[in-house]
Amino acid sequence: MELVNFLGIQLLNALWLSALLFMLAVGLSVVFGLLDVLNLAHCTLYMIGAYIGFTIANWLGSYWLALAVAPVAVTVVGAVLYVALLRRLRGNHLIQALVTFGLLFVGYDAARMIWGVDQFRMAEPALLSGSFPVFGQGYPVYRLFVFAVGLVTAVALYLGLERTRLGAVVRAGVDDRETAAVLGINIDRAFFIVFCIGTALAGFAGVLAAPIRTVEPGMDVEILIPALVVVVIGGPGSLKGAVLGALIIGTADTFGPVLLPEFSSFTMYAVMAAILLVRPQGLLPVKPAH
Amino acid sequence: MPARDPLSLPVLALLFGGVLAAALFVDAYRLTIVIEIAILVIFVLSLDFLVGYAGLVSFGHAGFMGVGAYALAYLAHFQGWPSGVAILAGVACGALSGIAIGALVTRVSGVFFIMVTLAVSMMFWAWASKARKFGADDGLGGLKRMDLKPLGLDLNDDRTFAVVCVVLAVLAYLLFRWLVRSPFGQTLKAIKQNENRARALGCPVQRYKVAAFAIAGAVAAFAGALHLQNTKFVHPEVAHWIRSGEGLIVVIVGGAGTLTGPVIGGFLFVLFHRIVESFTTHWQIWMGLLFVAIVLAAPDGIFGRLLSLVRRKAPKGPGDA
Repeated sequence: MELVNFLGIQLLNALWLSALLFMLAVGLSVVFGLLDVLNLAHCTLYMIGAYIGFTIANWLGSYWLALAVAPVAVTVVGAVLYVALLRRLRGNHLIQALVTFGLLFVGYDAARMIWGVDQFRMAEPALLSGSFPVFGQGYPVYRLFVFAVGLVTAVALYLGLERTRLGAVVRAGVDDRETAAVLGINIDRAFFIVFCIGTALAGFAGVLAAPIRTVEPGMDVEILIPALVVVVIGGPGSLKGAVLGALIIGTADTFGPVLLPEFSSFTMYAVMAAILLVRPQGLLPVKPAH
Repeated sequence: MPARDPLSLPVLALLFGGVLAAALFVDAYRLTIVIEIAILVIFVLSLDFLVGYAGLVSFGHAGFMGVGAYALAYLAHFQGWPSGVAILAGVACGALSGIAIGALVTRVSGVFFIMVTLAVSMMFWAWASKARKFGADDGLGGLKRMDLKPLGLDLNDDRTFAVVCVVLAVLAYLLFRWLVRSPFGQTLKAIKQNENRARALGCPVQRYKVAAFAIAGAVAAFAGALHLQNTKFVHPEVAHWIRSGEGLIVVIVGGAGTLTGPVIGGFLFVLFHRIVESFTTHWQIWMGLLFVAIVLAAPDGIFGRLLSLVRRKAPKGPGDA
C-alpha cells in the first residue's frame, strides 16, 4: 500500500511535468516540422512568459490576468523575431541554429539585466491553492490543473489540425508547398499563424510553470534540453510524437531521481539514447509525402 | 588541392608570437588573459576540426572538457595519481567518450545532431552538478598543478605555466594542421562535401566520423584538464552549454574550416570578454548580438572573409584572362 501510494504520487508528478514539456515541445517540434525553422530560443520565450507573468501577478495580484496577458506579450516578441529574423533564414538549419543560439545568450543576459539573478516563485491562484486527497496524502490541485491544461491543449491542437480550415491549409502546405501556393492558398500566412500559436503556447507554459518551478535566468535552457529530447524521440513535426515523447520523458525524469537517485539525470538521456539506437527518426516521425 | 592562403602564416606568427611575448613580459593580471587565450585556442581548434573539417556541428563540445577535467580531478585528487599521468588518462577518457558519443550521435544528422549533442553534453553537466564527491554545484577546490620540477619547470609559477600553455596551443595547432592535411583529414573533407559520394566510393563514413569525434574529444578533454590545472578548481560549469556555445561562437566568428580562424577567434573572444566585462557585467548580451550580426553578415567568419578579400584582389593567373 505504501508503495502504491508512493508510485501514485510520482505518477501524478510525471503527468504535470509531461504536460509542461508537451506544451513546449509541440511548438518547437511543429514549427520545425512544418515551417522548417529551428528555434533554439523557443524556451527563451517560455522564460519571458514566466517573468512577464510573475511581474503581472506581482503588480496586479492576479494569476489569471497573468495567464491571459503574458502569452500575448510573448507572442508579440516571437512574431517580431519571426518576421525580422527567422523567416529570412528558412531552409538553412545551421544558420538558424547558430542565430537562435546567439539569442539564447541575449535572452539569458537580458533577463538578468531586467529582473536580476534572484529566484522568484509565483503564488498559485487562490482557486487552485489547496490540495486534493489522493494516494493517502494531499496532492496540490494546481499541478493537476497544469496536467488538465496540457491535456486540453493536446486535444485542441489535434482537432485544430485535423478539423479546421487552417489545419487543412497547414497540412497541404507541408505536403506540397508549391502546389498549395499555386491553388491560391496563402501558405506564408498560415505558417505565420502556426508560429504564433507555438510561441503563445511557450509563453503560456511559462506562466503555468512559474508557481511550480523557480523563475530565474537559465530556466529556459533547463527546460530546453528535455524539450529537445522530447522532439527528438517523438519525431520532429509530429503532434502525436510530441505527446508520446513528453509522456516518456516526463515519466523518466520523474521516476529516475526517485528510483535511481545516483543516476537521476541520466535516465532521460539513457531513454533518448536507447530510442535513437532503435529508431533514429524518432518514434512517430511525420512520414514523407511520397 | 588546397586554395592559396597567403594570410595564415603572418597572422599566426603575429598572434602566437604576441601571446608568447605577453606570457614572458606582462603583469600577473594579464597573465591570466594569456592562459585563458591559450586554453581556449586548444579547445576551439578541436571543435573546428569537428565543425569545419568533419562537418559535425556539435553544440555540446564542452562536455569533453568536463570529461578531461573531472577525470583528472578524480584520479589525481582521490586516487593519488601523479597529475601528468592523470591528465593523460583524462585525455584517454576524452577519446573513449568521443567514440561512445560519436557512435550514438552520428547515427542522426542535421537538426537531430544539433539537439542530441546539446543534450548529451548537458547530461554530463547534470551529473557533475549533482555529484557530491566533487562538491556538486559548488565545485571542488584544492587541486594541484602538474609537477614538472624534474624538467626544471615550476608550473605553480604563473608565468611558467602561461608559457607552457602557449607552447601547448602551438603544438595543438600543428597537430591539427598535420591532421587536416593527412589522408585522414582529406577523407573527412570529402565526407563533409558529399557524404553519399564518399560512401559510394567505399569509404566507411561512419567510422571516419567517430574517429573525428574521438580525436576532437581527446584534445578537448586535454583543454579541460589544462583548465583545471589553471584554476586548480573543478566545477560543473566547465561542461555547461554556455561553454560549448562560446566555443562554437569562436569557431564560427573566426572562420570554421580554417585553422587560423579559430585562433583569431579565440584571441578576440577573450579580449572582447575582458574589455566589455570591465564596462558592464552584462557582456553576454553584447556577445550574443555581435555573434548574430556576424553570422548573418559573414557566415564564413572573419578569417574566411579576409581570405576571400585577398583572393579577389590577387593578380589573376594567365588562365583567367
